[in-house]
Amino acid sequence: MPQGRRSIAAGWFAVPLLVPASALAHGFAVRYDLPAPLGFYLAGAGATVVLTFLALALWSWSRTSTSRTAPPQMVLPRAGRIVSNRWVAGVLQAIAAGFFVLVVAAGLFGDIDPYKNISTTFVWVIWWVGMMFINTFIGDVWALVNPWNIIFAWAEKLARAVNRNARLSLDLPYPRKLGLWPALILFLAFAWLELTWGEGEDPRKLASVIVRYSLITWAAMVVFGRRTWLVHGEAFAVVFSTFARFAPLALGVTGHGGLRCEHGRETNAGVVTGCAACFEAAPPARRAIVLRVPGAGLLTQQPVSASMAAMVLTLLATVTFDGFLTTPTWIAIHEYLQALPLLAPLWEAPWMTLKLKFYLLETPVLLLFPLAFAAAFLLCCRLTSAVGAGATTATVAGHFVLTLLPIAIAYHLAHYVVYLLLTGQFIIPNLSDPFGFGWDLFGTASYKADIGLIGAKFAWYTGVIAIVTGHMIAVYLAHRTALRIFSDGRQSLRSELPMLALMVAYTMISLWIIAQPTVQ
Amino acid sequence: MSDRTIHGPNAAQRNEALACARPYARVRLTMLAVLALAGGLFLAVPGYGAGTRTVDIEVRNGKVVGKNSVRVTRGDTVELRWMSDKPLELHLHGYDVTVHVVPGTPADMKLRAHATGRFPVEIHGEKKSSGGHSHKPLYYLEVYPD
Repeated sequence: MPQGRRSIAAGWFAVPLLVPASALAHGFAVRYDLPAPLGFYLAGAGATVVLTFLALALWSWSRTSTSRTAPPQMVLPRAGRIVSNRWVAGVLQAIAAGFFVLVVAAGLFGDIDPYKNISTTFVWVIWWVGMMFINTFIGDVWALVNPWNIIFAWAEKLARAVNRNARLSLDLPYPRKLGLWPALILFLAFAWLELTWGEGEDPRKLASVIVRYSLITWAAMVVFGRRTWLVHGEAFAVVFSTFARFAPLALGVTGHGGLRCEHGRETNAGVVTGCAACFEAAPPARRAIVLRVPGAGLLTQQPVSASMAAMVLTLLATVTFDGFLTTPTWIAIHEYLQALPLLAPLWEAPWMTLKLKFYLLETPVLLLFPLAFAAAFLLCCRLTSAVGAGATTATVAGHFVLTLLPIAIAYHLAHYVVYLLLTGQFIIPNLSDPFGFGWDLFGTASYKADIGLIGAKFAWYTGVIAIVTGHMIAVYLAHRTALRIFSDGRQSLRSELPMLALMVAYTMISLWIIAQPTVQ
Repeated sequence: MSDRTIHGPNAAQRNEALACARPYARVRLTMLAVLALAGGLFLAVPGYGAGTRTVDIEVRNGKVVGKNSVRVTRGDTVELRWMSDKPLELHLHGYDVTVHVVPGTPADMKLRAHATGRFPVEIHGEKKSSGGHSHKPLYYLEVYPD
């Protein structure tokens, strides 16, 4: 049927022109989210504005400066000892390293169907989304189960067992100027792989990326030493520990008496809080778990470094970019850019492929988003420093940047709750048959995901409540930060206005995205 | 295909319970009352046992003619009737329903919309030419809460 074939060919030809190459937007799998109805969006937006003004009014009436005292915390030395117990830590590390090896092996040798291979669901849903939530809402668990750290530490131990003087690391001095930039660059590369690459659902390619990242990490650990690289260069240690600043539990080192954490973490009431490197280096008797008010870890006595501020802004931007990628607005921008006469010669070039076209459209935006966020943020910091005397823009930025994080956390929760609970169920059959070879280790190989586990209404309420709550936590943290920087109460209130305006805008964007239909 | 049907109180079971009601009459009667109540409640839940939605969808050149989504309410019985100008294998994600469409004959996807969400229908059996990018869904089934 030549005519039929021609029409099929014509159809194929038309597809790339009519259909914008659209993203999977997450490393893997289809999303079933229903956009939040207009009412939810309006209620969330209204609550955001009204509550922000109420808080401001409240603060301008009562001029007490109780907020200057440090937030309360409780030190749990026994919990610290349990976590660092040889057996507990050993089992935890063995499980973590075991999963790491399993995921890489399954990716390399298992079935190439992403739903049958454990690597895709484990990496994109359980680890990337799940681990982030664990670190955010419990504590820096990643620091205890980081397989790159565990495997390298084992290799160090093995080397020492063979020869007492053997050292795996050259321990070259880490250039201070580099700060967290290596972690930031590696994280951007990861964000590109997650959001733009579009091939993260291919188990082979995913495994090969993991192997490459492992080689980079271990090579850098050889050069600079394991702990140095974990603090400055291991992207996930840096990202997850940044989110863990929000968490109610933190790793702590007691008896530091006046000593400062050399990695820039806070010392609260004599306890170094939230530094995994100090925790690991400390003798077990001084390790503790610190229980604190959620969000308290985002308040800092010293402004964070420029590279840390850049890291936080990049996190905020990529979280939003992730959601923005699936909105019809983004598809419209895609179409507009593809139809632009100025760019036409580029799109029609003989070497142009559909994939390359997609990368060229998406990559600059991925990089522009953090820059746009940074520009907006620095502008607000500039205004704040102009209003409140005695603090430079850089100081203001270093103090306020972490206070924005709760909005990103809340948006992240709103964005991923359905994905985690529905798509995450694939891990159940995968655990019984990790390679897709037809095994049934735990009798769960034939489990089918229950798509009715959570309904759209639950997701909408969770999303809007989370975003408004996150916003209010951010506003409160910004207020406390302003009180800390600026001595004059009235001045501090005025100085936080630009930041509150930025927070309202950021929250509105988050609400707007969850009210958009997901286009994939 | 995992079309979930929700069973109401079973008529056969009820008859059996009535037939040998002598020795434990009171127990059985209580059980029956509970069953009937549960069944009644089940049927009273709004949305459940609601309407049947039949949608005719025409695919031409691998694209849907007209609107590319349908909005239904949770609990509806949905019947998507596909017509295509060429043979296709269509897959509804989430509900995990697959049909093969042959030109000239409508193929039905029938399901009870028990779960809310926005579920894409994709053409399967096509080789993806550019990684994950090219498979734009053909159609969306949107199930809203009642």
